[in-house]
Amino acid sequence: MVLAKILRWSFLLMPLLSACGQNLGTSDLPPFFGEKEASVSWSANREKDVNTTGGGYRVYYWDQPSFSLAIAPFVDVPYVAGLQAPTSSRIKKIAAGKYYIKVVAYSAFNPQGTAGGNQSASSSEISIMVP
Amino acid sequence: MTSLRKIEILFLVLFAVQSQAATSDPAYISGEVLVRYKDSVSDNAIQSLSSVVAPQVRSFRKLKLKKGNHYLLKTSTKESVLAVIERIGKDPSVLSAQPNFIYKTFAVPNDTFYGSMWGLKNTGQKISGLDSFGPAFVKSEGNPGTAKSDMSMESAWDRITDCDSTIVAVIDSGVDYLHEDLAANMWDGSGAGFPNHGYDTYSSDNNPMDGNGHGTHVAGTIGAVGNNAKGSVGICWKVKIMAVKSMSDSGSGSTATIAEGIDWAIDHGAKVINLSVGGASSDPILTQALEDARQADVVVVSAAGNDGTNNDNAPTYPCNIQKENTLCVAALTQTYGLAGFSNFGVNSVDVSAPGTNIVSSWNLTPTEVTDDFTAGWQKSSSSATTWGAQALGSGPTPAMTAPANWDGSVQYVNNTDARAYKSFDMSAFKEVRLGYGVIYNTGSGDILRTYCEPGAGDSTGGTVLDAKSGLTGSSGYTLAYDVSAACGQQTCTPGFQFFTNGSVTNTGIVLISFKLTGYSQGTTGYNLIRGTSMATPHVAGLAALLRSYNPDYKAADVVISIKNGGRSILALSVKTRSGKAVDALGSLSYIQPPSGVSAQAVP
Repeated sequence: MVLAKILRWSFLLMPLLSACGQNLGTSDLPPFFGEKEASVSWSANREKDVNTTGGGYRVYYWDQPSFSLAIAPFVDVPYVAGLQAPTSSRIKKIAAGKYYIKVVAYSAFNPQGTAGGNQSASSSEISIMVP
Repeated sequence: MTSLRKIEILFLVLFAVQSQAATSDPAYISGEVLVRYKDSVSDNAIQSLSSVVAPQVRSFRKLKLKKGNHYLLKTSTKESVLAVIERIGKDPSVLSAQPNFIYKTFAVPNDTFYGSMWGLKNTGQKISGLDSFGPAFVKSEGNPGTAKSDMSMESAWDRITDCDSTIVAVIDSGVDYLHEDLAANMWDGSGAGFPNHGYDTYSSDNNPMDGNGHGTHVAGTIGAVGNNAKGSVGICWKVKIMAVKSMSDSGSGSTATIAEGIDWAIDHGAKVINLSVGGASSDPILTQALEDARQADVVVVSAAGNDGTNNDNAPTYPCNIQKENTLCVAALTQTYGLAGFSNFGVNSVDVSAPGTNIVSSWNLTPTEVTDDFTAGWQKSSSSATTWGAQALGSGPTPAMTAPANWDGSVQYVNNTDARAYKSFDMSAFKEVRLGYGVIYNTGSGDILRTYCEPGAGDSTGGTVLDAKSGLTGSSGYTLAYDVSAACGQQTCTPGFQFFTNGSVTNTGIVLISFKLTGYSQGTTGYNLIRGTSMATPHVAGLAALLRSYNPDYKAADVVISIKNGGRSILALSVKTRSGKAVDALGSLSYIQPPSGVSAQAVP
């Protein structure tokens, strides 16, 4: 169990180590890796900036409730074309189990002239059982 | 091993997005590159080239430029623009590639009084009174202010200045719809039978002309025409202002006139209503009118009141009527402190906004009546020291001096009572201001008194407007008084009295300038006033800006965005529910958390 936790967290180091050209062996495994899939949908945000170039959503997931967005993997769902950004997506390549999911919306608009774009607070957290 | 490699790549991409979002501030459009191909390369070739060299190219188009075979490629935002350029550069058919840089207009309006509009851009400027700002006066509270204590309008205007898609109803004393800075931004009701841009529920006619100024001032804060090189500038440079006169020219209305005004505005397409009005009684009919607005998806912004009291304990209506579509607004000074006059309430007042020394349009236009002291002054004296007009070597001439032969060295005599007064016909003006410049060189207890009384008789000995004694120096004073009560729409008589005692003498008094400024109904006036009434339209204007920027927004969305997008001010956290000063940039940037999330396993 402890080992599983270490493996789960080790992906955070991966980009750094990979950049150094190291082969990490089994720690290459992403969290929750498997052959399952979940579909997620949500209501469209009404901000123009979400529904235009540079805007969109991120679907974060984790296997514990009340998780921090900073550690969780996410699926990026950018605006592509048309009237609004997509309002559904799929979390792919996950193992069976219980997952907690939160969605945030973002835009390209940088409010303070500082780094990064502009992101909403996260949606209410929902859970899902992937059998 | 192969499958592990794929996984590694997958996650590298994922983290590239994260790190880019966290560290970079690109001045170019994400997901777009400009590529110059060799002239021989065609659309078809790029289609196939792109699929090999830039597999994430989603679409492309050829730029219509005189020189060069340039294409705009739209790529996935998952790969950084610089990485895409590096990769595409390896394509032998590519001559050059660059980011699609972002350019912005510099949204600084050229309106005359913009430099005095601290609520829109605070540079720490000191706001000073000008006659062209009308009969009211500049206030010292929080003046000068603190730089950047403002609504971030210039940054917001980089995004949007045009609220033309939104009708904002000003339910007030009417609007001077002929005003030079408002006429172009008035709602056009002619097709619906309202050629005067609104309705008058106070007199039940279709002429909502403002005879007070209050509503015209409010309207200008929301939407004085921007960048027209005159007057002030609104939160919206362009908008549709609907004039609803529900208050008299003296500034009072009733449940009936205001509730009718609200329902009339709703029925005629208003999506934001400004209510810079208030009363102390819970009012079922007014409450229902705000409910009508909620059901019609209309934002209602109201003033907290000017009693300096806590609305949690002593409610102000309609501000204390709280719904998903309503906002209650307190007033801020130029230092972003709560104005001393502003009501507050941690459970009843939502937000705060600039509300002191606010410049905006006014229904009255100034006319200056100057006087050079050479004719018409009635003079008397109890001693050898008398008033007299004389041309001085420097400064404005002629001046009126006591003694008449003032030269800076001759001394006046003791026990003088020298008086001078003159009558002026100000019957054409609703409001009048008296202004004069004076240099004193007086001994202790020697006084210059100023008067202004209605009628043509001797005013000296009447109510003292100003009295100064024992002053010395050559720098002079400029004094101004609102004398509307004495002079408005009648003849009045200003006067001066130089009264000296039996002790020290000095060289006397020099009146270096004199004028009466009359204000009459017109189209080119401006005024500098304060109140939660002035804070409210800053928020109503922002509501219009947000509705125009986000056409899908509902009234409740606008309210949420204004509350959440504001700037937190520590001292306001115990004064208003949000603790925030409204901020246009913050609200334009604000994104609500997504809702309605559901998920299911894919079989």
